[in-house]
Amino acid sequence: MILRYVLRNFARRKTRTLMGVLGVFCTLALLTAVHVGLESVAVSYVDLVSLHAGKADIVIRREGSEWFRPEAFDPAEVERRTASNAHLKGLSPRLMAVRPVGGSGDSRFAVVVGIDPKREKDLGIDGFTPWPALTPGTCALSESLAKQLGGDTVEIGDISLKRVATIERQLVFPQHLKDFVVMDLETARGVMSEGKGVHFLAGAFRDPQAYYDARDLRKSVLSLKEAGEAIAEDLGRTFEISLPKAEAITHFEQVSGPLRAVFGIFALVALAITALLIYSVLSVSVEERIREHAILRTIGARKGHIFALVIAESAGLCLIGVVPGVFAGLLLSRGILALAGLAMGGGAGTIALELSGSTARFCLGAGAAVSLVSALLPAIRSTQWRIVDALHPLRRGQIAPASVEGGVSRPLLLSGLALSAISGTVFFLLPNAVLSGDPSLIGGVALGLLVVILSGFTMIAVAAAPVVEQAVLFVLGGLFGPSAELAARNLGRHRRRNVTTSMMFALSVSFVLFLSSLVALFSRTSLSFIERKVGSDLRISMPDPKEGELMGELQGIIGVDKVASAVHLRSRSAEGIAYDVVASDLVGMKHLWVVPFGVDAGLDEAIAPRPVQWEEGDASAFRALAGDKGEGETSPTIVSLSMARHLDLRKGSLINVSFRLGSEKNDLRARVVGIASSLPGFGNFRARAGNAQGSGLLLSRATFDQMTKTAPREAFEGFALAKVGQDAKKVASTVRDRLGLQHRLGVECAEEEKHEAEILYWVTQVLFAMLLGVAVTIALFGLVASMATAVIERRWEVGVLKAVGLRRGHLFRMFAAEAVTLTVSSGLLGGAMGFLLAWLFVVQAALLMEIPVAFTLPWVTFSATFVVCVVAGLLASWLPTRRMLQRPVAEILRGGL
Amino acid sequence: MNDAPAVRAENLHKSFVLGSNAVGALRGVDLSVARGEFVAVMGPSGCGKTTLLNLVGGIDVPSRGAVWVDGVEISKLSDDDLTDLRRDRLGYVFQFYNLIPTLTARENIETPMHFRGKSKAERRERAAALLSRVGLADRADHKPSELSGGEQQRVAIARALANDPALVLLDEPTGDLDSATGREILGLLQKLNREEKVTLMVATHDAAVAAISSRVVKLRDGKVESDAAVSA
Repeated sequence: MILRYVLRNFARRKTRTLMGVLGVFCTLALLTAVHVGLESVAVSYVDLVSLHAGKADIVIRREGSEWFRPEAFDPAEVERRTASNAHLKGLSPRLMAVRPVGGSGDSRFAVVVGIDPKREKDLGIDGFTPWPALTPGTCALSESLAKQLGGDTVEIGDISLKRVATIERQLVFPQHLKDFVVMDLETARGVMSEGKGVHFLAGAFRDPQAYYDARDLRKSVLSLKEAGEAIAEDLGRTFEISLPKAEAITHFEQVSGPLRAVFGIFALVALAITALLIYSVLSVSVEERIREHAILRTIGARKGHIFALVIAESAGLCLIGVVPGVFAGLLLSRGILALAGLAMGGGAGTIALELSGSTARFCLGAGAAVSLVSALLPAIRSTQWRIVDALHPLRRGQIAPASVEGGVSRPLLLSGLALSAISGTVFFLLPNAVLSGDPSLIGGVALGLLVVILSGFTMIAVAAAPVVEQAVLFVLGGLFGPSAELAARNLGRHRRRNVTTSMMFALSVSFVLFLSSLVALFSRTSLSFIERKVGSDLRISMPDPKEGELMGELQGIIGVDKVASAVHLRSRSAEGIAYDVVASDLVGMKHLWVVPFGVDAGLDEAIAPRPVQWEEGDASAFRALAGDKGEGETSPTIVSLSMARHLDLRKGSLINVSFRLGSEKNDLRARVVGIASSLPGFGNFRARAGNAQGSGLLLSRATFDQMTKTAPREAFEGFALAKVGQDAKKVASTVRDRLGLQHRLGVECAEEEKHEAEILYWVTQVLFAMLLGVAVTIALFGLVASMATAVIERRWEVGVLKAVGLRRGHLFRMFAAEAVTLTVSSGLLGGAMGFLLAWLFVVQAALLMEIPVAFTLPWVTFSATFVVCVVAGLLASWLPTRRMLQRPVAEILRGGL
Repeated sequence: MNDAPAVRAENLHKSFVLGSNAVGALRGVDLSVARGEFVAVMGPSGCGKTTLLNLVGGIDVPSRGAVWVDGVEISKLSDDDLTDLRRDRLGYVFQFYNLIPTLTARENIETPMHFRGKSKAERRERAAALLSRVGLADRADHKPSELSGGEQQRVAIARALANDPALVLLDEPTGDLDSATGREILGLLQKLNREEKVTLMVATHDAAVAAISSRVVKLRDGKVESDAAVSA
């Protein structure tokens, strides 16, 4: 009978029921999509990390051997040493080198890979798709290389190989390597002129399931590490091992941790909004049925019965919304995972949809918990009315449940407790977080602080709401005519209820605006960051900057206008030779470890001028360096502001720069010709004295070479800055194609990176606009419910106003003015809260990274918010009033809706 | 059945605070209603008729004084016990019927029995019997919105009788009905009282109610002005 009563109540107020159900539906769909998505990613993570790390569990190489300069070794020795290792299933030999590869047309540098196809297959580390049928004298080409080289044969040195296949996907080496040739081991030995040695041994573990635990990434990493260490122990010190998947999982864990936290917060906010919605819906329901509940109480229903009725109603709403919501979430996550799989370079089915019992239980449980918790207050309130008051319609709306005068203020108490709890926890965790360096703990603390700030903002918003409402009414009042004045009074009269509604709305908006502003600010800031990082149109990193022909080749590429290189020392040479460069004042009072750069004369023409920030001096400092032949008593130098601050330097100051290599020492004296707080392309030109260690110091190339003349060639690395006259992306592509593999160059293109940042910006803006839609829709349901309460509460007043001559239009405008004022003002407050939070976040990050913040507002989302607020206000006033305003006055006065 | 009167009220006071003023609705009412009596409580608007019924019915609490229903002092009961007393020993009929709009006539009548924990079969049987008694056997599955005012009031009376109460309180039962329907309801009340010995206490302006009652209590300014038996 109770159930029948509850169900018929749903049918009685279809719109409201629908709103509640839709709110639960939307939230549960979102929650399920997020959780199933994350779980599926976690479960498929072995496949995902394989995309980045290859399928091999372990790679063995000779000590000191590098990917680009591998050293051959005898595999038999390794196999002998690891024969009894319990972890290892087996090893497969690989040869790898970078060679010029020719076809019928052009010639390209490509990675040449020699494998034992059968062994790779047997071990399950076969990472080429489709798997090529390789025989001696044949090879398979990557899709990218195949497009560049025509013909049926491939020339590598003086060996000609027959092309038998094109490889579409590879899980052997990093995905950014596009040009490669695969052949069998014997053929590769011929191509690389290797004897019986191999460059790498790729291995598989005996029982992969024992190492990989999707739900505990940390455990996976530790298991893999343990296995790796056991193998390393067997191998001795002449071999090095790497665990590519463990490294990828560690990286994945670092990335997915904060992602989980963000999604967790997102889900919590969505649930909180839904809780507010259900609370509003049920509050209206309770408000509307005060008399009905009183009748039930009169004829024998205990308070517990009434309480149960309200809870049952909430559970019913939840039940109707939860199940379709979970299904919709599953469908949504399926789509998202397909897109994610494609975006990661795998297929649409790379990430399989996973729904575990625990996720299903969590989603259903969260829905049930939210519905129950949010129903508690209305349910309790429904039992607090005195029957006699509730039975008399004229007294309803004018009386409130009894409050304890002079007692505890519950809202204040709860707010205080919540704030103290959060800030106390943050205070307690802060030192631990900082000392641990654990990103998830630091993220958690940051989020905690964010919640405290958000709470503070919310309190300010609550306090400021009346003023903002008045301002909004002042601006929009003309649209509503005389009804605006009535609306203003009503807003003041129903402040308490309005606070709940407007905060629900403001929180929804602030959440979306926070994310949206964060992305906007970071995107815009990232554009200037890209300029500063890249330093010109192109930044080309060179592992061996002393390759004589490289700069000439770069200069020869069509489109490159100016190129200048900067050379510096590695922190430790490949041979393990340690060196250091120390700058000091002339009296030796202060010393500083620095990183000197030897720069070309053309640097001032190649460097992007805009992000150069001179504290002292100007561009003429570059010219001073250009004119330095390294022959004078003192050499000109440009130093970073942080270094100048640390050593108390001014323009014109003299410093000692001392280079030490083992027992060798080489000193020079330099005069500061410029002090820069920012030098594009040179990451260690910073401003704060605290960042002085490792500061940048520019010397002419001649002086730098003079100073470091005793260092071996392999001790140097460098980069070139290139200004291009035409399409920078095209030039970057040409540099990569022609010189990338040959010289092992890394090419960064400012235009490409900015383009990617722009795409990211717009994609996220659209995404957040959609998110705004969902969040505001849920909040709108609550708003409609709140307006319905206002209508019910004031029906007598409405009846009287109608009786004394107010037209239907006037009355609608009165409610519309109220609702629109409420939505627009809470939208403005929420928007301001969200933007300010994001601004704080970005400023903080920018301060840490010493990058300037570019001020920008997410206009699209802001404009969408304003429009949505107005529409929401109109809808929220029209839905609950449409029926009542059509009724005759007498019926309204009698309480019929 | 105990020998206590159906209702006993002693020195009953009730005052309301309106703004900063306290208004006395009842100012020392003493009253006793014997079992099987049909008491009409009359008086001008604001004299305290409804307040008296509310206090007797346990839906409001007196500012001073005490009320016994069926021998039980209701001011000493907990909320749940008071609810149980209302459910088991009292019936309440309102001027505006106050039926649950989403439930049918039969379901409305079954509701008090449901709260009492009676089985479905018992509820069905009893509801059908009550509907027959009030002449609405054929309207059992109609919702209140499908019934006339008089029919709704008869359903409300049937609901009030559902748990065999010691006393039925009626607040202006004919106030919202036309005179013909009002007469029908009065006939039903008279029949219930005379033939089935149901104790009735009716707050009314209607002289016709007084005419069929066994006793008329007149209130004025919150006090009993007169209390006299009606000659048959």
